[in-house]
Amino acid sequence: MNIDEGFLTPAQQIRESEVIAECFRLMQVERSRYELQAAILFEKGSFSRQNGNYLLKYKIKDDRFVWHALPALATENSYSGEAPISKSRTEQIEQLVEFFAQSEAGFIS
Amino acid sequence: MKTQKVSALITALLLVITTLIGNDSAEAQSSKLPCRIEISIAHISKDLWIKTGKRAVKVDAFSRCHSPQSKVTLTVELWKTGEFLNHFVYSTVKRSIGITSPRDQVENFDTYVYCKNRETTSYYGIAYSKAFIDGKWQYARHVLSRIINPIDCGT
Repeated sequence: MNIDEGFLTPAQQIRESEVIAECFRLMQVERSRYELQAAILFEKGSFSRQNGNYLLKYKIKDDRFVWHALPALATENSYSGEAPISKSRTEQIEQLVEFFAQSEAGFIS
Repeated sequence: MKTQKVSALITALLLVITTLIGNDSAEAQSSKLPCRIEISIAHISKDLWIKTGKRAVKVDAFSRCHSPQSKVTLTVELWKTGEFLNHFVYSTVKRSIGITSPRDQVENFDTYVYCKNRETTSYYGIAYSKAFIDGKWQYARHVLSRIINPIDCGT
């Protein structure tokens, strides 16, 4: 078994590349917006925004950053993510930039 | 350095024991368990790396049941080994609506983290799920990646 092996079909591998590449793109292009969002999250503890068909909700819960992607249509799947909060504020901002980009980049499965 | 080796060895032993117990249980209970989860080894997304030169560590999982399942929640966690304790890196949850037939699987392929540097780090994944099957909630036990994979990817 190849150690790199995952479970994705060739079509899903293409989708995977597109989604993660979009995540990287967003981290660069939308960085200033994400830094503003990070400031709001630190100040208020939570906030939300519409992204396409999904309402994205972010919050600080105990020692973790949490996002939820809630679909506008009842027929769509919902998603969420969690990451432990880093120690320094600089690391936290970098972490949130990636966190916001992941939630906006779309979903592979 | 020595403590890192000891920590890695203890983690590896725990994983082997868990896997052996899991395999025994899986064989003994395979006819009883309504659902099966499989989780991949943590890996670098190769297609992305080839196409863009970007690197991300990733772990994938899916759940498949013998009976129709609904309200499936599949959680995938990415962990890395540490000197004394292992560290939680990132997790995602996919909540699948509707009914999933026995021949179909619920997939969560969305757990990935960008590599900040080339520091060799050992990663593994954990997956678990719950689903509404035959009128009651069923919980699938935690499944670990069968190998802790050292990857040139610091997170």
